[in-house]
Amino acid sequence: MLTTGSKLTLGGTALSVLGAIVWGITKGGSVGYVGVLGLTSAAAAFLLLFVVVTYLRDANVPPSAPDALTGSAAAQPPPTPSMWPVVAAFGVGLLVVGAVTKPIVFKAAIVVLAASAVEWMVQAWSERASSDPAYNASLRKRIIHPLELPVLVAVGVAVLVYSFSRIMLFLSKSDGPYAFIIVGVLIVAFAFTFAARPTLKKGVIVAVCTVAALGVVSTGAVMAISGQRTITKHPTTADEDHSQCLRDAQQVASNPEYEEIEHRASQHVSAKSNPAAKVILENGQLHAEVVGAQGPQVTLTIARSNPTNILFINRDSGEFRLTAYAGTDVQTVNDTQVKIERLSCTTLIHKDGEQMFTVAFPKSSAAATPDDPYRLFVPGLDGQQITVYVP
Amino acid sequence: MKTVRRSLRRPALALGGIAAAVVLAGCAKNAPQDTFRPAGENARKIDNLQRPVFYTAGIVLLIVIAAVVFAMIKYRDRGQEMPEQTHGKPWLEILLTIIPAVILLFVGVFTVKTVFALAKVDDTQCIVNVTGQQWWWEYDYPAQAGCMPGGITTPIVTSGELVIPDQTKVLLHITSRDVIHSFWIPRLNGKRDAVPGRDQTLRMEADQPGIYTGQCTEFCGLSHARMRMAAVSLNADDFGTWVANQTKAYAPAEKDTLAAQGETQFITNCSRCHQVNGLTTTDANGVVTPVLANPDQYEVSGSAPNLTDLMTRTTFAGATFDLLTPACRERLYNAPPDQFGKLYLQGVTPECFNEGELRDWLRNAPAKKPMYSAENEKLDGKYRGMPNLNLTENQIDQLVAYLLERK
Ligand code: HEC
Ligand SMILES: [Cu+2]
Repeated sequence: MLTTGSKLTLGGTALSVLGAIVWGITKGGSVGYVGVLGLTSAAAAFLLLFVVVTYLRDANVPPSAPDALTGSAAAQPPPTPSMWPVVAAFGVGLLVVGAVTKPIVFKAAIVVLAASAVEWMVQAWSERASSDPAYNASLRKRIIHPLELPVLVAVGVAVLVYSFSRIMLFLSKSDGPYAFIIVGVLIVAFAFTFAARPTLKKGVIVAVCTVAALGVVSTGAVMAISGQRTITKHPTTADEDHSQCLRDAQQVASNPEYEEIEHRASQHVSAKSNPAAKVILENGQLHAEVVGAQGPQVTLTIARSNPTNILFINRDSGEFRLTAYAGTDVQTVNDTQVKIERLSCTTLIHKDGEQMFTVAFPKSSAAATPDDPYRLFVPGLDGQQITVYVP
Repeated sequence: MKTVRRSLRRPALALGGIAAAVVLAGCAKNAPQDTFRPAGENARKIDNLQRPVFYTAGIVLLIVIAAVVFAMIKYRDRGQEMPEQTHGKPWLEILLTIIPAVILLFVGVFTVKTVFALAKVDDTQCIVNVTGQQWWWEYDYPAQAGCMPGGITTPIVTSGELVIPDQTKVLLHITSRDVIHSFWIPRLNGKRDAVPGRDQTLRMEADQPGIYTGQCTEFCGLSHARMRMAAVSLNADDFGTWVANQTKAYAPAEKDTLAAQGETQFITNCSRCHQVNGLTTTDANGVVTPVLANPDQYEVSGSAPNLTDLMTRTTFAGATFDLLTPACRERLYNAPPDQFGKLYLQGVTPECFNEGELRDWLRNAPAKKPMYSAENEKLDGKYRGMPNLNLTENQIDQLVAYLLERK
């Protein structure tokens, strides 16, 4: 007769062999090799255990002692119906569904299966640990709670955070802070109330927390379904496509599909606090501000070949971009030498907008002529420029 | 008991000796980088703050040590009974909390006041951009209305020595081309980090003409210790002379001299990294083109010192090596303020020229100052610092002759 333990180990053997075969067929290379080796070893180990357990009859009492048999832990009826078979079955179902739909479902199924396997085994084992059901129950708790509680708390927190993040993504940028303030105030208020009244019934606290959590989760679900607000990317400077630097506002208006040239994300947030200069467009006039320099400047001195951050601010209505001209480069295109202007520019900046602009001037001003100096200018605004000296 | 004491005596003596030596080392007579000798307004503000704090802390330290020593001797273990153990003495505890709190409050108020005073920029009279790179500092003077009567019309660039007009509120715009450095002239102000992409300001003001040394105070790689600097303060007239000299037109070397051969050597071997403003070449058709350095193609930092007026400086390569002979250097550094300017403006005269140092540099720069610039230590095909150019002694003769005229 096969005992409980030997059934388990035999099952383990069969599963490992099956697994090794499936693995060996589906996976190639070193992954397949290691997997097959591991699973075969597992099968061998299970087989050995099976032999040992069968030989020892699972440490069950011998039939020659019928009293001990009926009194033994293994002979006790399970005290409660277990939910783990149902969960495991659900896991298997999910596994199949996942196999044909999405990998994420498949992975979730594996998690469900693994969790129910552990829970099921611990429960089955603990129910036969002794003939005292109360002791068995406490034993189960002692084993499983250190595993169960952290996982449950983590999942709970994750669900709450995820739901809350959906709410924040749904709300507009200006409403977001209010939601945050309200939630924060509520939490503090409840915490104060609970702290001030330690005699408050546990049920009340649980009820309040449950209602709050359900509220967050359901609102989050609704808002996740209705979709998040449109999030606009921050424009930044780029020097990839020089030809677009000269486009002015009119050109853009007549050709809205023209792609903006910025490719890099806003990497310059921190730099905004210490730019080398601010270049400001105001009342159709371009001027620069430098810390320590008196009044508006019309020239800037910028160290050679050092990427330098300049903050461009547009105070005029209409969209403008700041463009830097850093001389010319001679390049060979199709065996002919062509002069290419070193241009870089900001995106189009609307009224009261600002943008960090990183410019570098590779050669000293000696390479420029007085009538074609290095400069910062705004296309479409004639005569407005800031002459750049590179010592 | 006795033996234990005797065995402790020797290490205690040794420790005491070391401590005394450390303390006495602070009494150096010639300490050019002494924060306790401020030579300008901002340094004085710092000094006015740090002295009282230092003295107060010293007094507190003495009181605490005295109390501890007294307790150690008076109540040392002589086998007497353990005294009665009590807990707490509220009035003493409150007193001992309030006194430090009051002291710290005083220190805090004056510190914050000083921090704001040091950050003042709206009364700036002169602006200099300071750019750090491995392992030297570049100074450029933007075209501006300030610095001197009539202002600076042509931007100036120099390295190693920051020349400023005395009794003038100079604002430095400090940044870096590669890693983080830190600018510090102890006798003129505190430190300011030079961070790539950021423009940080530091105020300098010197009371009198003179030379004030400092060094990079943020570890920045192999030759961090050789990344030194100096601030040179000149009176208004002398500063004007200096500016005029820095912006004067280029004077080519006289034909058929050693220096003229040096100019050719310079164009072939050096000008790809080093700029000499105004240097030109003339091709067979008589077309004149300016010789322009493009160190961004050869250097990690993208730059090399501008050598237009090398011999107006007294040091080179991160203000580490002297262009002046020791005697001339002593004379300059110890010159009284009213004579300092005249002496400094002479630059490197043939009599004072410390030729050996410069020749060593040209023979093998990385041997003189470690710079990872050996061929096999190139990074992305670019150098850090100046490489060994394997020049012949002949070439060096010519180059030195040429460079000696750069002033
Ligand atoms: C690959 C670039 C490169 C070349 C080529 C080069 N140098 Fe340099 N040189 C440097 C760099 C970088 C420094 C700064 C090193 C430092 O101080 O750490 C320097 C420093 C110097 C200095 C000290 C300048 C000062 O103000 O501190 C002199 C003088 C000098 N070089 C002369 C020459 C001469 C002469 C030649 C030609 C024979 C030459 N260099 C070729 C990169 C170069
Ligand atoms: Cu440094």
